Formats: sequence, C-alpha cells, structure tokens
Amino acid sequence: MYHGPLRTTTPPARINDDLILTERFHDIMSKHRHLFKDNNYQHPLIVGGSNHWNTKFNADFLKKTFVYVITETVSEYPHRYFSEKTWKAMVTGVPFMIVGSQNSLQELQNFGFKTFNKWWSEHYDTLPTTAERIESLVIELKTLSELDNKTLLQIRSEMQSTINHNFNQLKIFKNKQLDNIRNKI
Amino acid sequence: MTQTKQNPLTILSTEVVDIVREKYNVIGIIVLSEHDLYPEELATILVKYCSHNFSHNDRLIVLHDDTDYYPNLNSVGNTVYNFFRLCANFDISVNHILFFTNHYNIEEEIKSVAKTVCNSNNIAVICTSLWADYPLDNNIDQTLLDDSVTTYEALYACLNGQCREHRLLTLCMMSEHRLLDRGVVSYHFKK
Repeated sequence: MYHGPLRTTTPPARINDDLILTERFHDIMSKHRHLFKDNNYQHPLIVGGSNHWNTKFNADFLKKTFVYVITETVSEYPHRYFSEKTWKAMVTGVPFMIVGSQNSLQELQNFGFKTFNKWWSEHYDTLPTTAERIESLVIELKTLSELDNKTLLQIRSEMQSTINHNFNQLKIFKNKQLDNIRNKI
Repeated sequence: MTQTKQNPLTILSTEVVDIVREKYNVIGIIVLSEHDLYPEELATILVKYCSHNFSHNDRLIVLHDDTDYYPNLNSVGNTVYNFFRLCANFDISVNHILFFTNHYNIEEEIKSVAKTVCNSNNIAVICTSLWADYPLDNNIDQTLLDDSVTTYEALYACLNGQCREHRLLTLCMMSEHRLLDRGVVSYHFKK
C-alpha cells in the first residue's frame, strides 16, 4: 500500500468553492444570501431536472424565457468546463449567457459555436474573477429587462440563424472530436 | 479488466470507447471521480498495475470526468497530482495511458505533472466533450427549434442544482438588481 504524500482536503472536496470577493461583493452576498442559502425553490414553470432522462436536454420551458443564464459546475477554475447545462441551451435552441470559467464563450467559439455578442456585450466572460463576471452579466441582463416583449421577440427572431447554427454544430462538433481522437491516440 | 462502481461506458461516449478498442487492447478503465475524494482508494486500484509489463498495444484508460480541487488558479489539481504520484510510486508507465478529460486547456498541466513526478510527459491527453452529458443524436429534437414563441413568460431562466458559491452570488446579484421576479429560477441549496 502507498503511504506517500498524497493531497487531500478536510472535509473531502471535489472543488475549491472559495470566491475572490472584494468588500463590495461581500456586502452584496451578506445582504441577500439568507434568501437562498439552505433553501430550495423551483419556479412552477420548470419541469423535470438535469438528471431526468426526458428533460435533461429537452427542457421546453426554457423557450418561455428570453435568455438562459447558465450557472456552470465551476467558475473560479483554471480550465474551461462544460456540462449538460451548456449543451442543453444548444439542443433546446435558446440564447444563453454563462457563469463559468473565464473565457468560456471564447472556448465555445473555438469549438465552432456562435455566441450572442451581436445583441449584448459578452465582455463579462473575459473578466478575471467570478464576481466581476457575474456582476457584468447581471448588468447586461438588467439592460435587457428594460426592453418590452415586442422588442425581445424581434431580437429573438434575429437570433434564429445563430440558434440553428449551434443546433447543427452539435453533430459537427461531435464528429470533429471523434476524428481528433482517432488521430491523437 | 478493473471493476468499477459505474459502467465506464455510461461515462464516456461508447463511440469513443469503440475507437480506442479498435486500436488498442484496453487492460483497464480507471474512473478518477470514483476515487478522487479518498486517494487511498485510488491507490488500491492502481496497485493492481504495479510494475505492469505493458505490451506494445496495451493501454490503460483514465477518465478524468469530474471537477478537481485547485488550491488556487495557478496550482495543480489534487486528483491529477495524486494520480501521477501513484503512477510513479507503482512504476506504472504513463506512455501506455490514454488520459481522457473534459477539462479544456489542461494538457499542459497534465504533461508538466507527469514530467515532474513520473519523469515522462509522453502521455496521450484527450480533451473531449463526448461524455454522458453530451447530447446523443436521439436527444436532439428538431421540432424544439421552431420559433413560434409569441410572448415570454419571463426574461430569463437560471437553474441551480447543488449549492456553489458562484451560483449563490449570481442569485444575490439578481436580487441586488431587482431581477429575481423577472426570472424562472430554481435552487436546491438545502443541505
């Protein structure tokens, strides 16, 4: 048996969940966290869940909203990481913003997907800390919140070719990855 | 073949596994997420390959399929470090490992650790999204793409499973900007 210097955490943890927070962000957390911490809530429109075979990807209720704010598995993290949350946006055909590792959107673009910088600034994704990325994203959302339903529908209509592209890109990306694996191993 | 708690074929796309098996004799599949919290468990798995005499065509598949603990953004992940530390201890040839990961831009980190700890960076690192959480062709329903929405019931959706600080901060920020009632939100943060 091995008894050497292996790395562990106490308690055992699969993620370092500490955020880099300025005093201002601490204050915002302190002010609002009691609303959410140790609580459960699910909006009545939501059907199924990420572990349900039928709704894991085909979450039709997302289409009743203008944009899907994806909170990925990790955010203060050195590598880009995408789970079913991101792919769900592509499959369902909804515009999205991502709270994830820095430059997640750039990575998706490298994969051949299109993001939504024609309709809002995606500068948020490039900011160095999670807190800065979240605040910048929410400010973009705040701007969108001032638009009426008719304008949102018009914007959504303009996005359709991007949505279709991403949907089709899922299969292209998959085949490209399979080719890459064949070449690499 | 190493027995795992979960069938690895349900973790990595079967098409990927088929490609590997067409080319190599797979002597074992190690799912790091099954042992990462308790590295002594990983040791009990890897000790089976101690000083294993790999034939030319043998490969050990390693699945790095979950998040890792990084003490800081410039550090090495604990699981990645422990894996190579144990490979060095058990004299397991990294040249015969196919390291599949869902972490993009991690290759440099892995090769660096392998070089430092095992004195070899000749390891195949395959970054791929083709895990069980990538939609299969039959998950994709073209009808969902029809653009027939005539009104939105909410501005945004934000779905949150396990409590993470970045999810908590996102919701706090929504609340600070009075956007909570404009969203279809969920959170499952009760311990």
